[in-house]
Amino acid sequence: MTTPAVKLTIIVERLLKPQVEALMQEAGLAGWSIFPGGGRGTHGVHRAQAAQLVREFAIVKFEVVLRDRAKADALAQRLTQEVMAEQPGVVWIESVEVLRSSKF
Amino acid sequence: MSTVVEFLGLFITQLQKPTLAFLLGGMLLAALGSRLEIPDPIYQFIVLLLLLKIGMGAGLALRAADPVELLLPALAAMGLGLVIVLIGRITLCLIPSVQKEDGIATAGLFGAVSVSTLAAAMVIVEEDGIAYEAWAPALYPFMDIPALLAAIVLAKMARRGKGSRPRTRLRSLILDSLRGSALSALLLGIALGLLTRPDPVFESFYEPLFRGLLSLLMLVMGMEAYARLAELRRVAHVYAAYGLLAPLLHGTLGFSLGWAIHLATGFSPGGVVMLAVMAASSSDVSGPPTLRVAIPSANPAVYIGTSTSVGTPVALLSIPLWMTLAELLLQP
Repeated sequence: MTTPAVKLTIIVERLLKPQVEALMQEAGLAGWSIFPGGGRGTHGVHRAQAAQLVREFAIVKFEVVLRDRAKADALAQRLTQEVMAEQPGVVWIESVEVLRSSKF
Repeated sequence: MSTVVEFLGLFITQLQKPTLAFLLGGMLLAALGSRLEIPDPIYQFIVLLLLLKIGMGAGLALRAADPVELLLPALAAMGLGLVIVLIGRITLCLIPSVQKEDGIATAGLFGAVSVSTLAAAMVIVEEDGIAYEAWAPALYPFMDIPALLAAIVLAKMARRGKGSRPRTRLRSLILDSLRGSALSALLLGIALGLLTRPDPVFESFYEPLFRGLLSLLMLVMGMEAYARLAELRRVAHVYAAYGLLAPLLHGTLGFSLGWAIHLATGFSPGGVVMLAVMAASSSDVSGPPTLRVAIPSANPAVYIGTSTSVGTPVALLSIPLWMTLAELLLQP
């Protein structure tokens, strides 16, 4: 019924969103989801709902599910080396079970 | 002596004006640990409306303005943007505890212009009945863009030595700057004012809302200034000194250049105040993300903290200073 796959999760500030999207497009991903959020990290508090002078410093979470683990690894590598070399960000990969595997 | 008393009297009256009072109120709330929050979409909406209003007002005025009249103030604005960054590069970066790129990024923000400070100056100057060329706010991008570009180029040069080729990316940096949310909204406003007839919506919607919305923006600025102060405490104290002194020095430069143009071409005292305020102000909305992307090695806590928690409040509180100087020194 379910098929094994991997989920790649990326948390970056909104200002890096275009760069992450460009890499995902280059990697030929069919689609991904973006969630706005808030929290605290090395760059202080990222407010979720209260006014902040610079909107680009709010955080967003990308989630993408792939069946090809090697592709996910390659993308994660490029993200950490190219996008997050000098900017804050978090990436992780986890195993998931997907339904309707033809979508991935 | 009487001049000093007169000066102080005028200055204190200005501090009681609603615009500055809301700023101080916001700082006080944050200092007292208030849980009051202005929702982000409301803040974004306020900034958008203010920028469109400022742009449209300037655009409408540009339609009737003589292009020659604009030339000197625009050149002065560009020169000020560049010179302020160079002064920061030379003075701030000489101090041993200052990382070169942090110093350059800080100077870049101080050379750029704050929308909120400009909007506050427009309201305060109008309240006092000091006339200014209505196109003066259109000088904003002339100062803002060269300052940010200068900081980015200087940072690249500091990093790579003389072998760098900043020219190759200059075009994309300018485009990126223009595409930023603040400048896009302002330029759209200018284009609408210049090329279309937005007068009815300008007069019935944007103009009446301007002051009220600005008071809310000042509240946010005050709260943010206090919140950022905590970050600034962790970096070199020299930045606090720079944040306190730089707006006054830059404003004086802007005022002097404006004064010279006033004598040469009859630039209005209100226009001189606007130029001084733009020079004194430091970018807090549009500059930080541009620098974050272009100078990733600079510590954002340093330059944003210095600009938002010290530079902007000082620049806002110095608006009455330039007005008082204009009243005392310039012929209307």
